[in-house]
Amino acid sequence: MRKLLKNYLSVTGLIIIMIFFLAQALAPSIAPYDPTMMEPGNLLAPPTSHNPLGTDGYGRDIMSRLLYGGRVSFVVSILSTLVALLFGTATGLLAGFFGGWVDTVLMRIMDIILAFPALLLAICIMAVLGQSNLNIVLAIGVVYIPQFARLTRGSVLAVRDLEFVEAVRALGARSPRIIVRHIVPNILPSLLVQVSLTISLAVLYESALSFLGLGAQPPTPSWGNMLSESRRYMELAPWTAVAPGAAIMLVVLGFNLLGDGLRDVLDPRLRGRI
Amino acid sequence: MRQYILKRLLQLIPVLLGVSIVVFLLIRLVPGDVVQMYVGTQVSPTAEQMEELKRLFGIDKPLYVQYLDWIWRVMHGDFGVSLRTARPVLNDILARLPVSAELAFLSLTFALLLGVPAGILSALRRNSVTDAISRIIGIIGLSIPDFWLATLIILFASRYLTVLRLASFVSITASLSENLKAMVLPTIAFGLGLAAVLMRYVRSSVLEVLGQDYIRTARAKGLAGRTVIFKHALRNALTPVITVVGIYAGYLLGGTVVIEEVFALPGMGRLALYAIYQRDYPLVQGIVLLVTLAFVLINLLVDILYVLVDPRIRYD
Repeated sequence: MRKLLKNYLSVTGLIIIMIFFLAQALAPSIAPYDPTMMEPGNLLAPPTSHNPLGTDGYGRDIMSRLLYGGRVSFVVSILSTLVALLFGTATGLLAGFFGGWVDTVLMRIMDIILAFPALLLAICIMAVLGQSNLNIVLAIGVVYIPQFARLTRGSVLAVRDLEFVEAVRALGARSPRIIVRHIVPNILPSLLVQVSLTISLAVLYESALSFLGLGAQPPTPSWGNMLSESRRYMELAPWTAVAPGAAIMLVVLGFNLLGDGLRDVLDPRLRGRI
Repeated sequence: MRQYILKRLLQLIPVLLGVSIVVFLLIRLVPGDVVQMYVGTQVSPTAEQMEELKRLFGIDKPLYVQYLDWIWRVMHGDFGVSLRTARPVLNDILARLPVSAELAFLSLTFALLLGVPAGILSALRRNSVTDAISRIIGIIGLSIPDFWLATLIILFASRYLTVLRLASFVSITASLSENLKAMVLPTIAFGLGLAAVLMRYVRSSVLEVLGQDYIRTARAKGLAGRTVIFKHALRNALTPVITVVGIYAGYLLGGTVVIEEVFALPGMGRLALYAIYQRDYPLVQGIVLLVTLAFVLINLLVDILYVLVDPRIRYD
């Protein structure tokens, strides 16, 4: 932990994440206006003291929409990463620990998910399930299950036959206990790195889906659909396009920096890899 | 070598089987009935007509028979007809394919030309200002959403590069120069993210190789720094880049949806998006199947190429 705090990149990342996290959590009390309130006499206003980031094509305050829009991004990307983490780790543990046909069947299923280009798979899942926040969570979560499964399986295989596991087994520990007490703690660091990088990708995919009109539906603000709406009048009012995109980039950057930093600290073997 | 290729081909069978089942189920899992969707709400056909339509779509039989029918037809190049235009899906897809392929190819080339030299330079001048700048650009490039980058590029071009902004898409066979003019901005928007990935990868790969014993040996026996780097280090450091390109082929194939939408390019990705908006499921099915097949085959090629390029790897 101390090492992590010394790593200035990850500290920067952590600070960015905390600022955005607090901003969206406190949105109701710090947002200057209601994010859906339209001011017909104040369309596409440039940033002023009245509207710190200007207004959009319906006269809505961009600052307020940005704060509320962050909620969708945060909730969806964290939940979808949790989905991927839970199912992926469980799959990897089962496959790695039991081996044999369990391994073969589970990993072939992972291969099938990986065979699809990620964004295309997420778009298709959205098309089949229909638009709702829960479905975005599932669509993005499913796409990242194989990454966690492969990572976990690899680590389990590396740890499974080490002497200390043999020793615990000889002492009479059962499989679930060995997995939970002895294997999971060993793979925790690499999982943590993967979680951070997956959240950053999930933020990107969530905003891409709502940019394409397959995510959060207007008038609910999300960074993706704000950016998508701004394309209609961005040449008149560039600030409408700049703010939501910059927000997405900063949050993604935050998680990427944190992930890089975590990896440097927790997993020296991988230092500097992508 | 032949054995390895054979083994990889055999491994593809369960994956392709699984992919085809998923894509097949895609259309069946959709709430509602395909026939109902085709008919719409304006007309109400008689029961007989409904039966006839069901027979045409082949959904009067059990699911596994439908699957076998479908896969048999797909293997003979019959991907079904569009629910909107009633035209064969495959023709429409193949007409759009060259645009997406060109975009992916140009973006990959752009990313390689930018990312690989930047990564090498960054590694050779480790901890210098150049290194710091390219690392910062690298992680920003990784974090910037491509659709926002595309939007910003359009915004910039509409003020300062009107020639490129106003260039509307012309097919490559009609006029190469006009076509390339329309492709410049999409290529930059799409390729920059991949260039960042490649730069970061090449940097760490070169650094790793430079720390190896044989590099020290080469230096110790008095070879010039340039010879060591170009003949000994880079060759080994750059081989894994092939694998990275294979992994990111998925990004190049799937990401076209977003870029083509932003730049209004008439490619396959945009066709997929409109097919989804219009719930034209046979069309969605056809595109997803073809794109995924392309992705799987690219990865197979990459694996084989890797074995050919790197003599240390023996899989058999």
